[in-house]
Amino acid sequence: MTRGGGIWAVVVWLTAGLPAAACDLCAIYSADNAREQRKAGLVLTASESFIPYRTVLFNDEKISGSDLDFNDSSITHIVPGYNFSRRFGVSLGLPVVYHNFKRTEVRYSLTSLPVVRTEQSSELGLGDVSLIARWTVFELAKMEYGFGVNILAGVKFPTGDTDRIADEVEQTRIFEALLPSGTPHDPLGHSISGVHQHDLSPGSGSYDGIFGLTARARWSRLFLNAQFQYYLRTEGESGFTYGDEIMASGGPGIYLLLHEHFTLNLQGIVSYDSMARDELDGRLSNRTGLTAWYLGPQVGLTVGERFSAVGGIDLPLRITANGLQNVPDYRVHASLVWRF
Amino acid sequence: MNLVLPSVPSMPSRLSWSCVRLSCRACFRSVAFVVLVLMAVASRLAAAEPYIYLIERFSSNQVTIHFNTDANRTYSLQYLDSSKCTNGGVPCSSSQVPTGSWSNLWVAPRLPFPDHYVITDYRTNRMRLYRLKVTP
Repeated sequence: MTRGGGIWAVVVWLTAGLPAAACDLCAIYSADNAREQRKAGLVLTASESFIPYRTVLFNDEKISGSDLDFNDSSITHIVPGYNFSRRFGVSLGLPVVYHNFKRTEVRYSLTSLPVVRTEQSSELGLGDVSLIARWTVFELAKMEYGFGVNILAGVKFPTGDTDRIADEVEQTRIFEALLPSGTPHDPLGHSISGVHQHDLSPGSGSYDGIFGLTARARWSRLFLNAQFQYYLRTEGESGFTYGDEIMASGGPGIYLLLHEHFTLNLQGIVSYDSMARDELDGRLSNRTGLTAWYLGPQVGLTVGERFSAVGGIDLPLRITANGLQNVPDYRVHASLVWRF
Repeated sequence: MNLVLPSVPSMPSRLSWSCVRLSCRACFRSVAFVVLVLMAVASRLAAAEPYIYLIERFSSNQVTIHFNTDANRTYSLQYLDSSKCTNGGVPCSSSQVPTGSWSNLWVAPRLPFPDHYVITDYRTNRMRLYRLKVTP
């Protein structure tokens, strides 16, 4: 390969265009892990996703107020990975979850009056670790153009703390014990906050399947990529099951700077995120489930052949949510990748 | 406590039928009357009266009190342990409803959305009256 070709090889697959960095796949493949010049060896990725959940929706109507509940969520992924070859690699996702939040709840008891409690605090802990494999099923790289497709699959393990889910389920069961038998009731109907306990829980208590597909194309300085993810949730802590989640995103980009030792690109990304309703003991909660569309820019940078970085912001175009929920005001994401 | 509302959908058809036979002035009065009725109904619907929809025994020595709440209103569940209206005892209204000093059992937080609550209370007395007080 010529020297110029080497530069292109660095920049061709610079970004996989994965804006929702809170997710496990995004953390791993948000920078240049999926680029063409993948060599066997270690790769270390650090990614950050910050999402302020300060918009409160009640049956899709925005709730106004001066002292509403909120959750500022930060998830940092440390992702060591190893590429066995150009076509096959594995990554281990270690999420560190931090929530700064305020939520008000009515805590029910079978033996005393309910207590209204406002909790303003923070939660820090290791989330659910994921192990994900990548297989490059198709790859075509020429000087002027290129195309590639990756398939991703993995497992998320129940390593994160689940005390908050256990507490939420316990409150559900106490409240339901107070209802006449046979009364139809939402499993999370006792909640008076859009920030639920399961929203704050670092872990799920479940083994979940992770599946993904990424595709990318380049022609000269222009590129286009897209990715699809599916999270298959299983029953976790205390019979609680998070709803399955589908994410899709992608968009066109252009390399603004092409230098021998660094590159800079800009991309516009449209994202779709759909979370199904959560379940408790097999009953769906109509206070969960969300569909959102985002649009935002993303900037990518490579320095040499070992370092790359990506950063972007997602602005909500439209969010619909069931029941009472706090939804994102916006999403900020960034990733740093070092290839050894 | 339950509102008995007129059958609103039937009103426009009845009004248009009668306007045919009335003078313009009488017709205007009828329209104004119906508008006032509809406004009154709408205001009652927008801010429903507080309503305890169920009280039932719970466990061996408790009761549960169930009620719904509207948005942006504060609800106080209150109780009174005597219902006797006597000159020297509990004061009562002309309809023999105790108006004495009710005590707060529980106050529901003012929320920007409707909700419902189930409150437990111990059966310590032979009888206890409950009411919901709402502000504003």
